[in-house]
Amino acid sequence: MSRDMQARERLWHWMRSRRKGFTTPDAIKACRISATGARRFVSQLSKAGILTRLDDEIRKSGQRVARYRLAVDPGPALPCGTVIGGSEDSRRNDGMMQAIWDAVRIAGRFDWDGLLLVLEQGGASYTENGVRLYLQQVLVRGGYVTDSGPSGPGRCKAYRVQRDTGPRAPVRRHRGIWDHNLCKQIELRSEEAANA
Amino acid sequence: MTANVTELKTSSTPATARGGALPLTNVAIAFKMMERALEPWADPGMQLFYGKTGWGKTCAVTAAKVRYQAAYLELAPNMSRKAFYLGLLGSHSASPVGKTIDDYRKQLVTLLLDWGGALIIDEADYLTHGKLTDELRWLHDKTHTPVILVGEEKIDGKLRKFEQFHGRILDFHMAQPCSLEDGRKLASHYGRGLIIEDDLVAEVVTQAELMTRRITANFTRMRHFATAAGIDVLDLATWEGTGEGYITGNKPTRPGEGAGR
Repeated sequence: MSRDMQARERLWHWMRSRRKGFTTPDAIKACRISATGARRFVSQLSKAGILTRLDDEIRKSGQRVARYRLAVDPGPALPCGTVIGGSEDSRRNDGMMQAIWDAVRIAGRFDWDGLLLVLEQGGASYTENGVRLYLQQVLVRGGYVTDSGPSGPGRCKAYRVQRDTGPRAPVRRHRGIWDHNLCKQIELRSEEAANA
Repeated sequence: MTANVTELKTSSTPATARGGALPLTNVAIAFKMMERALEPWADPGMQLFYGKTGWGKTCAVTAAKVRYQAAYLELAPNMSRKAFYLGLLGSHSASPVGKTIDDYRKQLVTLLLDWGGALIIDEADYLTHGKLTDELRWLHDKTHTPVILVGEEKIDGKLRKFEQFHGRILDFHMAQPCSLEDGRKLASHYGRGLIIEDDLVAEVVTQAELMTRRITANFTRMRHFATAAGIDVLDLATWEGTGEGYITGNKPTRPGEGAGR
């Protein structure tokens, strides 16, 4: 969910600033994130080896709370997808989206055939439907590329890059698009507006 | 993602029915360069990939970037040093720290020293504008990052004027014109849903003067025509009979005039 992504961003920046460690309740309070979301993210980071568990903290109430701190700092970009152990499908999709975005940025203007040729030649793992969905649902509706309108018989769609925000591929997050380069949520344009 | 995207009416043939994913000649050259650059015992030199316009160099290095996750920067005419450094930082997803070129330079050296990938510089002819050759040479000397330069046919002559820079280029790879075999692969890709016979592929390759860009434009035009006419197989005689002609890069001639070429 888009709000979750923003909350995870806040949480990630906060974790990076806590060099001496932190507890999940502190994180929930400081970052205004849901308890479930915070615990899930902390668990994913721990499994990925990004967080290390320190000695438990004992609260006044006698409750033991786990303390964590960064084991490695992979940088300001929010660890997600493959980094925190996404599924094989998500790994493949991440690779495909990045390959499409790389090809699109370099080409500037491109058509469907040319894009597929580069993906095929580059050995990217993709399906035509996946490419089509990413182009239409993320890049076009996010305002990153514009298309030339409907294709005709035997003629494929052509596209032009409208907004190049950086090297990392924008990704769809439920109701919005997450731009890793800007570290912000991009509102989806309606399909009609995107196709206009 | 929801699957409510309007279907593009471009492909009725599943991907599996297409030509194999064997790389085109220039793509294979770009892969070879990239593999050489990433070898742990590689020479600390730059590599140059050069050839005529329209031969598919950029397409080849794009495929290499996709495959090997390289960083890519396309130079622009009269690019400033600041734009050059910002472009390089951007290609590594890094936000610039500081405001001066020196700050960017330091940041980039730190980034490149930790990075194991290669750097592709496209339109490298523009390195000779301004002082970019000095900047790139300095970066390369400090970090030993493998650099692949991509440029036009005469780039070698242009870079020779910068002796210190030219001395760092240890490998030269010529882009190749489109071969008949490449033509077949392109016909299979761009003419999907349509069988383009070998005699027509050979004629297109010849008429387009072995230029990949024109060859793909010809095949796209053929597919458009064949789809509209309901033709499944296109050979040389059929295509010549349509009077559609070829995209050759030459202007058409009036009756009675000599050939345009």
